[in-house]
Amino acid sequence: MSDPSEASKTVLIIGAGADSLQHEGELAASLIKVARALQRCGYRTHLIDDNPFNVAPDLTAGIDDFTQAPPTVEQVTAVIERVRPVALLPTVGGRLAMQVTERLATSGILNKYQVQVLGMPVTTVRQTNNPSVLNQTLRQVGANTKKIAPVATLADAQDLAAEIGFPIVVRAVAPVAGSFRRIVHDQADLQPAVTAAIQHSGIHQAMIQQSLAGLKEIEVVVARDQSGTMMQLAVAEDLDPIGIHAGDSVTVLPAQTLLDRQIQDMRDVAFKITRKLRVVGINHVQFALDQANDRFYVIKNSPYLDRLTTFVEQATGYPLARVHGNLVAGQLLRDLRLDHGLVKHTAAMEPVLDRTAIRLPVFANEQLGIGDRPLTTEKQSVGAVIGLGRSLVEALLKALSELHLDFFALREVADEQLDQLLIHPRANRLLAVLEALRRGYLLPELSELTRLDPFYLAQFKRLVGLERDLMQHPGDLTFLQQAKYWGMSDFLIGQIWQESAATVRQLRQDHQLHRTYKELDPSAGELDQHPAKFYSTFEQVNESQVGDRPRALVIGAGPRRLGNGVTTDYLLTRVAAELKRQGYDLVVIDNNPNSALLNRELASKCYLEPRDFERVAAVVALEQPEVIASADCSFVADFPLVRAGAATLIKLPPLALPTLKDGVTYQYNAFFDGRYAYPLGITRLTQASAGVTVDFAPDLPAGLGAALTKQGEEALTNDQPAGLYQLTAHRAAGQLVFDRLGQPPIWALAFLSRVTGLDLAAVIVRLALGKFNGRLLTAAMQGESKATRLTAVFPGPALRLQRPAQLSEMMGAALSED
Amino acid sequence: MANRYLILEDGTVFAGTGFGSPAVTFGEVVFNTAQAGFQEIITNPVYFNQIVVFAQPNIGNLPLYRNIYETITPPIKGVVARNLASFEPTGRRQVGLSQYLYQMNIPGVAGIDTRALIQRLKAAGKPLRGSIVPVADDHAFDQLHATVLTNQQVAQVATPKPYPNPDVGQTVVVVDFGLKNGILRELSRRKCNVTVLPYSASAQEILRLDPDGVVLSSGPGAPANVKASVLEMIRTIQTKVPLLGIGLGHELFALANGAKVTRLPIEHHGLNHPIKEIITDQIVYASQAAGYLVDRDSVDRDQLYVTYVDLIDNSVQGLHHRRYPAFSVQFFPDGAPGPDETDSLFDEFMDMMKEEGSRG
Repeated sequence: MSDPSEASKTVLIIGAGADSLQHEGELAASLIKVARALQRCGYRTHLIDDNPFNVAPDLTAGIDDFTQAPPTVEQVTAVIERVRPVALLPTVGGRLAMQVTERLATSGILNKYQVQVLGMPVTTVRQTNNPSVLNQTLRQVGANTKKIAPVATLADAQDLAAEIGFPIVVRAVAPVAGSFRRIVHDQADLQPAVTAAIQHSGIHQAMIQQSLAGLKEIEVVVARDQSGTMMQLAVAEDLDPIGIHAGDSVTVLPAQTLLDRQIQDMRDVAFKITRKLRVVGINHVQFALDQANDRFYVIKNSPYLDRLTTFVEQATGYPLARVHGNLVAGQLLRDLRLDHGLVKHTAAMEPVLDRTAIRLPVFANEQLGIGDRPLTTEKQSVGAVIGLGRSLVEALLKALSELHLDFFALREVADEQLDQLLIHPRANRLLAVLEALRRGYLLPELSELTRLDPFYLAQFKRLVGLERDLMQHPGDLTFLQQAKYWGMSDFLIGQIWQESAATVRQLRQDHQLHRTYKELDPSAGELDQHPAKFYSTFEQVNESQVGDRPRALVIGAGPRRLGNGVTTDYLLTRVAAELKRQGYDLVVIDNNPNSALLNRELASKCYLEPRDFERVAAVVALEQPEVIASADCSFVADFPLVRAGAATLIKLPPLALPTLKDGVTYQYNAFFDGRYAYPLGITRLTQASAGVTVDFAPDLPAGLGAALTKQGEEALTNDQPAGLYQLTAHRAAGQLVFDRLGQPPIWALAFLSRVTGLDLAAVIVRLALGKFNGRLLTAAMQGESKATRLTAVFPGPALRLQRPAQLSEMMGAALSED
Repeated sequence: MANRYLILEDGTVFAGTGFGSPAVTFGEVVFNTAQAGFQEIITNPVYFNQIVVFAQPNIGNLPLYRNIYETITPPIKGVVARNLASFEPTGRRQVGLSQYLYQMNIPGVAGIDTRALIQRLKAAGKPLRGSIVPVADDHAFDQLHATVLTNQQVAQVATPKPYPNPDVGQTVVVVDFGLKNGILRELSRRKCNVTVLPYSASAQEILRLDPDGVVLSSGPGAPANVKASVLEMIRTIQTKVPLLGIGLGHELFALANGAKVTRLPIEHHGLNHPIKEIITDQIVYASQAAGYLVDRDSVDRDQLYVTYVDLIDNSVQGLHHRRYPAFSVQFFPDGAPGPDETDSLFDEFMDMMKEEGSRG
């Protein structure tokens, strides 16, 4: 609120807690922008979160105050009592924050302390948490919802099934032992299923529900302001049908296979729901569309930011999170003034694209040993990449290049097995579709098997055609040109030609086949807007102009992967912030739509591009940065710019995790400036099958700390280069056994930065730039070290895997203080 | 691989791949930023003598559907896109975009850097004529420069003869300046008993049908080129029965009431501009396809008041007469393609007719 009397009133922002299978960095990335908008509206922001890899509280702008605690009812209540916020924001903390908010309302805390909920009335929070109540509201506005009802007898079940029509899902209500769920396709299967469900039910009831499996899934994102103005931000389409979790589906923006009439009908319903629920800010409505009869069902309503909204923000160039912040603060769409090169009033202009954007889920199923598990309604993917192009094929290929898949992996698979892979899709099902197209499956047949729209299959067929053309014409320039136009990487072309990527690259350069960059403006080229976000394609006009100020390039961490979770993104974001402080114009390249790096407050320019050699080299060649920071792009060291010493390389420690012994190990952590070691504290890593914890400043057995410190300091008096170090030790037969001295893994750097309050990313940057002095460390070391525990989160439980926790599978973590 | 070219009168050449008809055509090149609804766009008569560039890169993703055409014989002169979907019919009667355009003798060209093309069109600062040709040589440019596009667009697309579209409700006369089906669809939904008259219909001819209301349809071209008797007709009709003007109909309504209409340096075609309804202060979105705009300063405040304004370009989007039940909008409240949230204007028109009718 711009009213000065509102100044310095506090908004309490509920964080999302530890990253899990359900959410990764998207909430933290959105939170920074939302909080910044709230600050600009005159609020003081207070974040409560226990996710050590949420970078928001570590950045100078966005969060004023931070309580490091789990966002539980008890902890949030404590903050409310202490801080007395005027309002609470539940929309950047995922479902957990919505549940906490509901309980705070129910318990009377919000009333007692007169805390207003931003973004929606409490009744909407309740409905969001309670789908059956929400369904009543949805029906009131005329929206179709999935038919669902409990039955106690077979006769009732038969009546209901006749009304709903097969297939239906039969479940046990309040099952006594384990859940019971069965899809029933005809009358004959109904009787045994219902009987079994009633038997399984503690109250002798079966739940009969309509199955929407196989329908098209459409996701609509809208915004509404306090005055009731509504706008559509996106209509996205999931390639995979209902039955596969939306987060595991390939999502396309804008929707490609819908009639305008269908879009308008869903838009109307999304508006009605948003109005009825009195949502202020962003609302995300998911639909199931039956194309046979144009009927559509509302399957989910999420009045908060999520993985789709970050994708929409990156794909459209529309500053969705920031606008959400403005709207929940009471500003109106028509009054909003956007910055970063956007034209007046465009906050209220519905974003349109002159490109195609793909959100591709990233799985870790091979790593987890569940590579043959079919995709279902339960999410399995651990991360996502965004691909942008001027065609669907180009966008898809650019997204895929992150995965380093072998496109021909299924060459040897028998037809029958391939059919199974098409019918029961698994992670990266696209490979099976491509293989089927290579084998000449017809589109209608393939569409029947996969439930993929023939339009998409025709696009994939184009890709297979390109492959064939290349195969038949090795080294041919015309087909090379075609392949580049449709988004194939040098690497993929090389694979088909059985040449090296370097050879393809040379041929390309010899014939001036260069990429151009297009700007991601939200008006599809209608207005002269310059949000300074770019993607590449092979067309005529290049729009990325290089400035004359010194530039630093940060190569993002890409999609979340197991082992490091989002810690690389956390650390790179802090590296980026430091480079900016050092006076550089920051250029970022990343393909993770959930990255905190993709923030125009931080980066002067963003490239939403794959992070492979070809694309990174092209950005480097254009931008000529003085500094390049990267975590896992080892090829950067070979760039001529780097070799010639024209660019300083900042490399984060390798992603590879140190081999750690089971049981308990201790780490001496220190910074070494070439002469002196500055201790950063001792950590204790406990690895057990039940879980993994890391304790900072733990209670140690007598003498252990001193012995470890002594050994560490001795190891660092030799000819070690300056840097961050970690010496690991374990106890065997009562003796302390020291392992090799190494670099702390990235997650440890992130953890240590958070618990010591010392910006280790800044240390790394200054060291690389030759601007380091010990003052930073000495100042930080004055503080008292609080014993803090990091508890790692693994995907195992959510995926129902019976396996011991292993650090190499960490996907997130929570902090707690003793 | 290029086999078709889009050439512009400023000398620019864009190479691509042809689809649809192999004919050579000429037209003004305009761009549309709608994300879907290619069928409704290419069949809108407003695109008479125009070549439409789609900013959204993929078109022809769906077959053509029999119930969403906006006219029977589309007068559009060409379709330009980045990608044409490789369409394979899965049903017996399905027709893909390329086949349809071939049947309608309309050329298309794909593989174009449409973003660069749109930037080019904007940079020109005036409407550019272009041609879709098999060879982009001097001859092609000579042809383009020699071509004179008619300024009698309405006469070319409007129906030459009256025809009825009967129903059981209010009696409405639609004056056809290049009518798109969406208007008839909205009137049908409201059970209107419609007669469509040629644009040249006089007030007497209209009133002879004793209508409850009159709709001035949308259409192509400059309102100034529509013959002056039309303005006479409007000035008479607005005093007699409720009147609704849409698109070109709105521009003519403005002219008839003393306002000026000016040519836009860059035509605006899309669905996404915020349009403010002045009386409620609410924002709505609607289908827009405008080459001309009512000059805001020229609006005689004693005759008319402004009802809608486009927040992006600040243009007049709606007018209402001060004394008569007559109003008009620049945008298309019938959507097709586009949001439905302004279709309530047809309800407003229905209410006006009822009110006037009860007044006798």
